[in-house]
Amino acid sequence: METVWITSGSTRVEAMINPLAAACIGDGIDDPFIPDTVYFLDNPGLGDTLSEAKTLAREILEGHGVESPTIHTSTLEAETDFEAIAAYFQAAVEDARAADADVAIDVTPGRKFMSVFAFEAGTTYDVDHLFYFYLHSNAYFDQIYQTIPRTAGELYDFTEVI
Amino acid sequence: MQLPRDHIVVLLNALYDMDERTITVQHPAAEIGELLRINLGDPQASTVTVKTGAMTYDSIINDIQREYGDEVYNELPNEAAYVKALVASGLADIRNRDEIDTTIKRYGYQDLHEGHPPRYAGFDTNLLPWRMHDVLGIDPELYGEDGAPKPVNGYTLAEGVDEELKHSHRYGHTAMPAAELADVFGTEFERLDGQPNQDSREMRLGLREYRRLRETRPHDVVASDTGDAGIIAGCKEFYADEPTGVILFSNDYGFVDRAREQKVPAVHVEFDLDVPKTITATWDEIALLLYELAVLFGVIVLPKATLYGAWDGKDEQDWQAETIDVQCRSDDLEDILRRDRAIAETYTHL
Repeated sequence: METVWITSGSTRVEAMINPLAAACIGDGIDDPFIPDTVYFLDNPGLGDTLSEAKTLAREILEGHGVESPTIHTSTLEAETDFEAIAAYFQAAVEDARAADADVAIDVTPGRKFMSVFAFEAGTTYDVDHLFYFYLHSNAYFDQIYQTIPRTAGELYDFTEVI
Repeated sequence: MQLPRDHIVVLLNALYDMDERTITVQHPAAEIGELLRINLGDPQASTVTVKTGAMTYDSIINDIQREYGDEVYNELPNEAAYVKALVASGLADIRNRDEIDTTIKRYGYQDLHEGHPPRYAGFDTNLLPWRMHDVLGIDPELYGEDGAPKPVNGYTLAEGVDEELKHSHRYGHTAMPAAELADVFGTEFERLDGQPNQDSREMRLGLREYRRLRETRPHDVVASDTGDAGIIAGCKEFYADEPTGVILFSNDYGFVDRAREQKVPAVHVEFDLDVPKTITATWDEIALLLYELAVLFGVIVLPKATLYGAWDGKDEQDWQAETIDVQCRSDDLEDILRRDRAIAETYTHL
């Protein structure tokens, strides 16, 4: 079965990548979640960050045995184009559902309104997982998951906790 | 597999993921055995239990000296170096913290905005290996509030110190053959062939700190001879006609007395004779400690992995990059470490 990860965009590559890395090893959740398809949401304000996130996402997934991960990118013309944000999540979930995939939405990265739309999409379309990566201290805010002490962060699946 | 010091947490994470939450740190020699036990818990306050304290360690290496002679004994760091490695990693403190703070308050914290001349810190050769800029809490980039006067403004780097740090002996060339060391301490030591011997590895730690300060911090490189007299005279002469001043730090009372006689401010940095039995440490401090111990001892043994601070093939670039060689004794650990190290490196080079 296909596994799909849908996330938004952020100016911080760590915010986009760390939840994915934690999911792949099953840090804090019942079973590892290793997607073969990832959806990102770019916008003009992110500069090169999204291409860096794609590089890292590909390396992480290949490292977990996904031979050629599919990485989709949608682009917003402006980050406050709320209708486009909502449409992005809806389309990504519909695509995943059409492929009968196990679907996860990551609500961690981006501005608060991005997370609001991500969470709303997750509950509206009843996705399989709603992930949030929690860091106990902001001391590790600017680090990649692999170099953050394992006990300093935890992935939550909101579909399990609420 | 090589791992730079900055990425040793990747190894700790890999061990943690394999349910190795208690990390025993052992020396390969049966006579020495377990040094420390690390419980990987709170990222800011994990527990480190010292199984072999400095006093016990001293008595063990004295037995080794009696049994195998001075040449073998000299290939083990002494008990003071063992304490200093814990200080350098932030796990233990220096003994005379108050005296150091008083001295820094008296001579440092120059208000550059008020036109005060900067004050630099100079370290004697015997302190350079132990990350004093950080341990003493004086580094201008790490300490002091933004815009406020800093403890010191940079560093005085004497050429004589550099010269002393560069002094190096190598196993099989100018030091005992590594194979003989392996006969006593364990086959792991065969890999040290051609590498700097114990004393020289300690100096390598110092040389790296010297270079780090020279590359990344405000500094004066001061022409000087080697030896206490040469280093002190070089500093005195350099600053004779400069508004800038220096405070010299040494682990040697003779050096401090001689500097003070010459009217150069100087202070002794004292280390305790032993370390506390139970210590709390951050994971970053633990990673740094593992690096220091791997270099000092040459080899240390962890669960599922053996860490080499020096190995055949370690070159100047590896020393510069502060790498250790990790030999995984578990294929699963090797797979995790290889994958996560690669990701961490990709991230670093983005």
